[in-house]
Amino acid sequence: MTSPTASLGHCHDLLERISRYIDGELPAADRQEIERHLRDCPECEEVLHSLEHTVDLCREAGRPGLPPELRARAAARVHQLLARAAKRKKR
Amino acid sequence: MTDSADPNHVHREPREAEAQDYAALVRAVQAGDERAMEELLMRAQEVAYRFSLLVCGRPEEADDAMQEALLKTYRYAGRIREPEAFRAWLYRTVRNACLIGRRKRVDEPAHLLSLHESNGEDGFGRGIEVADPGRDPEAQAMNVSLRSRLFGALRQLPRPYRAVVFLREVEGLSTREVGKVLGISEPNVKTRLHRARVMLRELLERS
Repeated sequence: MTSPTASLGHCHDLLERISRYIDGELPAADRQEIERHLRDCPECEEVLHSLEHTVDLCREAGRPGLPPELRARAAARVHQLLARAAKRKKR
Repeated sequence: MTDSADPNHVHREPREAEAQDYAALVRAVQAGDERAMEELLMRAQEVAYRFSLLVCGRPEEADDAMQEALLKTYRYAGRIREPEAFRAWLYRTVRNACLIGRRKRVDEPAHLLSLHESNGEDGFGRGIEVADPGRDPEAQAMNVSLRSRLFGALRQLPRPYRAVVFLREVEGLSTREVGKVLGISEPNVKTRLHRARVMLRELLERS
């Protein structure tokens, strides 16, 4: 982060805000300031891209599903619980 | 068949809609819909499993957390006044169940999964079952080893950071909901999330 137009302090400041930039939470003026900086600072641009990639990876990975035997046990517990409740209601 | 009842379903849609989905299920439960209760109870157990696996790092205790989530959801779903608040309540309940499990083990040495140990394994020595549907080509294209690396890296983060990434990025809770689940302010959630993303990126680059 040592490009001629970008001071180290500025890079640090930008990186502190980069997640909020990715999440679209910054005001327009801050966004524009960051975008100007990114045009001049390939290192920060690289950090941005790799963070965006990490975030995308998390969001697109899918969530672990229950292994088959745990799924069967979970479903059995639900049916048992609801059957007991239905019995109680009948009494 | 509902989403969570289908082991091959991948949740890739924006998850903001999921909070409303939970709220609709809770309303249906309160109106006496037994199928909705069944769906909610399965989801509660799935959340508990994922939390145990990816945040607590103790998949062998997932079954206890699942039972706790099941019973609390069964007792609470019919009584909640704000169905929109149910999702955050569920994750908080699951988190508390995991914390209680941790306190019980206070005398045990901490067991942190190594990257090798956690890569693609659920702790029982089996590969993590990641929902990967044949019907979603985009999800199919997702590199399986990359996904294993991601979950492995996630479990290497310090727990407070791991929890934030799990809740926000994997489960899609809002910043506000994450704050409620973890009992921290929204600015604190954002700060932790940023640091966690940076750490996760470094772990992924190293793995």
